[in-house]
Amino acid sequence: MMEGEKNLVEKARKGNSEAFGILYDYYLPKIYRFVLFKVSHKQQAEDITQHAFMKAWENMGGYKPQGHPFGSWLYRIARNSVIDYYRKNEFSVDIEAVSPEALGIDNSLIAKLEVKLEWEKILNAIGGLTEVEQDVLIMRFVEDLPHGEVARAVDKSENAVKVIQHRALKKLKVTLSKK
Amino acid sequence: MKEEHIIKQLSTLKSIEPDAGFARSARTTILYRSEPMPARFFGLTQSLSTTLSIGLVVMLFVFIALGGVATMLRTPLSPTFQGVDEQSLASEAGSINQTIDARLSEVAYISGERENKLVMATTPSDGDSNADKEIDLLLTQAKGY
Repeated sequence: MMEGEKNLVEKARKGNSEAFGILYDYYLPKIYRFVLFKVSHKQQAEDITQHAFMKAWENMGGYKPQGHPFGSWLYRIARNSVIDYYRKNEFSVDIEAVSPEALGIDNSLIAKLEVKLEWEKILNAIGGLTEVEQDVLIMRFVEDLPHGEVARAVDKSENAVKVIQHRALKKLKVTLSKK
Repeated sequence: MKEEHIIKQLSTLKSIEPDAGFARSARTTILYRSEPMPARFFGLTQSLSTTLSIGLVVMLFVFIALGGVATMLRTPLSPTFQGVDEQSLASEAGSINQTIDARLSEVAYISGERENKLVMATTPSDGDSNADKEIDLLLTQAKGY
């Protein structure tokens, strides 16, 4: 949760675009990564991320914090946007073809061949998990969200999230050990 | 491979950032080409949906209550047979009544006649020899008149 988020959310709820802009700047990389790992395609990830933020901005007036961080609400919208996108477009990604290049990742980190291969392996392994397992692992270990926040975003109890996380890690371990 | 190593690998994915050009253009599109719906719109839709739900429940309750009472008043204890033709049912009941009346008068006639010994003699009996003897006796008495 970012500093002064409550205040910014309150302003954005009243239609202050500047406040929403700050929230956008903070959450864009997180939501983008989340969508990117799920759709495994740069262009589609950009379209869905933009759509999710547009939906959030249009519905800001109806957002009620109720003690939950704004991020959980955004992740929920992003999840639904991915589902909507799959439903409307009916496309499928060849999980074996997922690579940093396919994802459009241009980063100095992957200049090293070793790191590049590691990423390719882990991205392929994530692709083999179920939707909710992917969501939980990305939110927990890529975005460092606490269990409670992940639970609200995926609409499950905290205990259920812990079980899903354990199962997903086990699956990843098996998949990565085979390769 | 250990779980700790997997978690460490996953956290390295954090360095993936969206394209700066995309981030800028999407920001402009979202903030300046679309408008948020006013908060009072959400309040209104929410209160409208709540009112509508309560209204529907009340209407359903009244409908069930009145419907139940109406059925009770129309046929207090017996069920209704809307498909039955009342006229044919009445005529059928009338003919059954007539048959029963005819049978009853026949029974009354026979029981009256039974008191007459002659009739009793002509009425077939169970065939025991005593009865036959009595009949013979009665017949001779009759011839004597």
